[in-house]
Amino acid sequence: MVRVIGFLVGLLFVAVAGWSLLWGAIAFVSEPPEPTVESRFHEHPRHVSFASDGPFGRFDRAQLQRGFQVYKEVCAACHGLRHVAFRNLADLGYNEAEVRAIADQWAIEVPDIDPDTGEATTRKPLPADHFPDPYANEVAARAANNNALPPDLSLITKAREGGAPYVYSLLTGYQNPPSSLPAENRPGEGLYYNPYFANLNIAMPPPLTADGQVTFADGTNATIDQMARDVTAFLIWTAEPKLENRHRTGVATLIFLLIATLLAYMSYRNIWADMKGRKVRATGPLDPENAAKREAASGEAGIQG
Amino acid sequence: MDRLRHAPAFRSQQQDVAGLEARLRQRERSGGGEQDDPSPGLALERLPSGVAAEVGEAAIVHGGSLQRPVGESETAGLDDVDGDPEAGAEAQNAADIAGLIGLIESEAHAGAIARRDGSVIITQIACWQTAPGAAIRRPQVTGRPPGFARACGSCHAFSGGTPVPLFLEVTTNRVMMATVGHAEGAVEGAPEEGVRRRDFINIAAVSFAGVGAAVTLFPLINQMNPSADVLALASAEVDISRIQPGQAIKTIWRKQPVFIRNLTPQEIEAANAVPLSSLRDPQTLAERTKEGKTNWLITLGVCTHLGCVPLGAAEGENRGEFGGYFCPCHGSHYDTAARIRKGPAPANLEVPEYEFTSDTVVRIG
Amino acid sequence: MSFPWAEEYQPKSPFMRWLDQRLPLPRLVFGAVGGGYPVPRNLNYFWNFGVLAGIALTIQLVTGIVLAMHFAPAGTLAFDSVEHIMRNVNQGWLLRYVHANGASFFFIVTYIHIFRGLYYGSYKAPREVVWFLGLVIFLLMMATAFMGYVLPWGQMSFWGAKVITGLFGAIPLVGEPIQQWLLGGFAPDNAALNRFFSLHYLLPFVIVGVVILHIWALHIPGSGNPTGVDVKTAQDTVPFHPYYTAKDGFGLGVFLIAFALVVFFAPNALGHADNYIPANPLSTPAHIVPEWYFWPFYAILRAFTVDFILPAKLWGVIAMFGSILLLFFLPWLDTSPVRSGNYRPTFKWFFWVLVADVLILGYCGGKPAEEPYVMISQIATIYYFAHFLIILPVLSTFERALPLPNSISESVLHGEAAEAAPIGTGATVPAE
Repeated sequence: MVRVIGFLVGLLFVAVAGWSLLWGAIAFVSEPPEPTVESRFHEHPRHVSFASDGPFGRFDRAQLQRGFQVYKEVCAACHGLRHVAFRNLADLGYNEAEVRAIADQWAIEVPDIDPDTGEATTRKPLPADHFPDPYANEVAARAANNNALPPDLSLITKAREGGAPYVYSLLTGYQNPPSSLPAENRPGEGLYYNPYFANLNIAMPPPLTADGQVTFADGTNATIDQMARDVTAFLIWTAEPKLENRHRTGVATLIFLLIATLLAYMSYRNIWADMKGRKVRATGPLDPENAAKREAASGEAGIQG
Repeated sequence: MDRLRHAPAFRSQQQDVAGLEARLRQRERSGGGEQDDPSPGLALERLPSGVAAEVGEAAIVHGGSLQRPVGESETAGLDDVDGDPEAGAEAQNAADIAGLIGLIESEAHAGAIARRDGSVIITQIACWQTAPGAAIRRPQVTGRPPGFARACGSCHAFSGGTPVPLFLEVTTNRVMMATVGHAEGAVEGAPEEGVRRRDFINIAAVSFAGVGAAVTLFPLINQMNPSADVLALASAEVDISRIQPGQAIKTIWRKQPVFIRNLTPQEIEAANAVPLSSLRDPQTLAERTKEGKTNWLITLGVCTHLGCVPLGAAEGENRGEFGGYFCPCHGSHYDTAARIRKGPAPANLEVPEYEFTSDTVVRIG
Repeated sequence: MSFPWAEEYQPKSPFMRWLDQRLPLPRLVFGAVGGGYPVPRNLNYFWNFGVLAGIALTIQLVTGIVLAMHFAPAGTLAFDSVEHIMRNVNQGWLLRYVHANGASFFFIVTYIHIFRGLYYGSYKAPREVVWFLGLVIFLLMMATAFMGYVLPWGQMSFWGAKVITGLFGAIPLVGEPIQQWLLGGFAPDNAALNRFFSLHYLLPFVIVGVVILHIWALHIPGSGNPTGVDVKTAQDTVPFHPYYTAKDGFGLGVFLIAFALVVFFAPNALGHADNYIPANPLSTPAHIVPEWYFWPFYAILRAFTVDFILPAKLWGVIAMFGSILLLFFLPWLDTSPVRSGNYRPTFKWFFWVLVADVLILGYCGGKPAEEPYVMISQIATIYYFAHFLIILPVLSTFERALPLPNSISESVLHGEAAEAAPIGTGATVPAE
């Protein structure tokens, strides 16, 4: 009975799905979908490697400090870093006094309340504060940026397909649109062509425009490529400050588990040793006395064997 | 390679012993065979030469009531599925052996090697410990002489015609042994090839896993400790420039109230005039303030009795009988140096760690 | 338990005897996973996955409870609280990654466990209720996982909730009121987030209860085995402890190695980047997809594109739920008296086609709803329903199975080669 109903239900679903398939196939054949302009011109992120890559990766603190400098001088005007606190900069190798100085001298102040009047005001950040947003709210941000919202950068390397290589490619990917680009896809007012961006035209103007835009404290030559690498490495850190802990703990855990599993395997083989490795033949059914009873019970249940 | 060993005699205590006789007929592949028969009772043969290389020793275990010498009479091979109790059994043991042989026959196929001539050789028998009427339990020993032989003596058997719960463990590379179900009574000697589970590798594996489990526990417990942001707020900087002498402010440090009071010269004098011996918690004002800044009294605003916030820091609040702070919950009075003078509190208001980063800013914690 | 040779519990110490007399818990444990539970001796590694699922459940429970100490289930705080856990809470990053990837591993292990059941006929008599309880656990798992994914309140959390609760709106007449009742509003917001948190905390404990019933129901007939042949004598079994505790320990080690590799070295590989963007009701992500373990069902949902009396969307919903519900009827759809696929060559072939089909459905479910993925999903959906509702019933009537061994021990003793030609009764076969 169940099988009959099931059969009919099955036919029903097959028919309905088949109906969709039929129409879909007809549509596919009669008007095959064309690749979109975006898919034609969009480029996948370029390959780039960072010190933190791989299971044994660690941050290059000098690079992180340079990257922070790029962020501070180029990006911080528009992009927030709200999940990072000034005190976290100690991870980059700054000592307590330097961290306090960075916080104290930060261009943007932290919202506060006037102790006398109660009015909203601002104060200098303390190390315990998070990086303050450059704009009071989304409306203000859009108003200042041609209706585009500059995203917070704390998690950007984890929040984009392609990760850190995507961020790096984007920063270095600004170029003139190719002549084959259709007119309607050319960048309009306030947009800039960048093939690494999904829509090809991004609202952010190229942030890194010239070599030497930033003067690195450690004297590294600040080419656009170098600045892009450094700020991307910094953003890998902001997205995941615990990366080094993760790698270190992971290696130790895996070594432990490999040994433990090996021991577990040896123990398993040891316990099963007397059960395995038989070379014996049976010559007849076992337990013949109860065979009849067993057969009867199995027969009732409809199970063979 | 033909070696037969005797098992030690058992200490029988019961009368109802079921004897088992396992007799095997052996024919060596090379032809001819011999069987030693050092004692009445059970004997086992070694495996055919083809398998002999893998086989250990045979052992004999006797039971008290075994009567049939080995190899003396013709008996049915153990692959005789009929289980004919007559086959080769002595009359008086027929009833017991019947069940035994029947069982052995059926089990033999699990633990036996069938040879070309159709006979079957038992390769392994394990001794199961049970008590009469009790459920069958796992074999205590599996055969590997001489340990098996020694340990085997603690076999029990059912009485009254119930088949002896003997099961054959099937292993190659083991010795052929037959056990005798017999009376209770342990045999001396612990099994040296004992239960597998006591092997070192098992202990090592479990210990290693245990260490792993203990280490895993650490983050689960440590995550409840104060997180990084909470620890970061362990320091608070306070601007004290606006506090006039005689005034105090309340502020927060580590989510607790802190009183910062600018003492007047009269209050300082009053504090210094108190004899230490009269204090429940003797401390001088100098001990509770920084050098050169004795007018600045910085204390936690938490009563040391049961934790209420004392009055007295804000304008107009009751300052108690000693001009300092007063806790309304249970009537603790603190003096101008915030020392307990009257009431149930056991100690002075706590002075946290602080330092003056400048004349107008103090950092607490 | 119905095995007369099962070992009886003997308290090992005076304390255990004292406890056992007052609350027979030691006895219960002994009989369930100790030396007192006989298990077929021929189980292969596919039988490890039930225990691994239980362990995955435990991992999720423990990490979940600990994470709940720090998570804030309010729309304005949720995303930030998760970042707080990742950055500030001691080893919070580890707890979060274990919990997020633990869900994925829970599903991997459960899917293998289910497919083991499908291949070896574990759903057949007398284990039908074990199968039902298992399906109930699976449904509860899916509900729990869906709600858990909403909690971080990222873009995918929000929009995934929007899509799935929107499905209820497809139900005619009562759909919209039900949808608003579920959400506590018109779109996922604070109300939805809070209630999802409450239910996400509750359901795993319900799962634990059903797992206990599942194991209890299994222990009545005892475990199945790769031959599908019933246990007949003590020869066929070994006590669960130490044989299968050892084997499960080893399996656990392998599982943890795979788990550690993902958690420590690729913790975001199974997730979606968009969930690191805070939820924005005004901005739809380019491609809304659920977590990978829902992809096969998502593909079935999107396969119905053309109205057919009912709206296509409703067909999709019906088919999606139907694809799981039909599994409840499997014991009566597949009526072959032979359990194990090892002895059913035609069934075996179709089984592997099913596996490929589900993998294809999964792949398509993760892709955007464009051609050719839609057409492939449609073909795969057709096969999925045909397999269970048409092919299996027909097969069980006309199939010719291979002869079964008489017993487990026989099949073990004979080895694989001889399994197909087992010893007949009474025949004496000289060996070697």
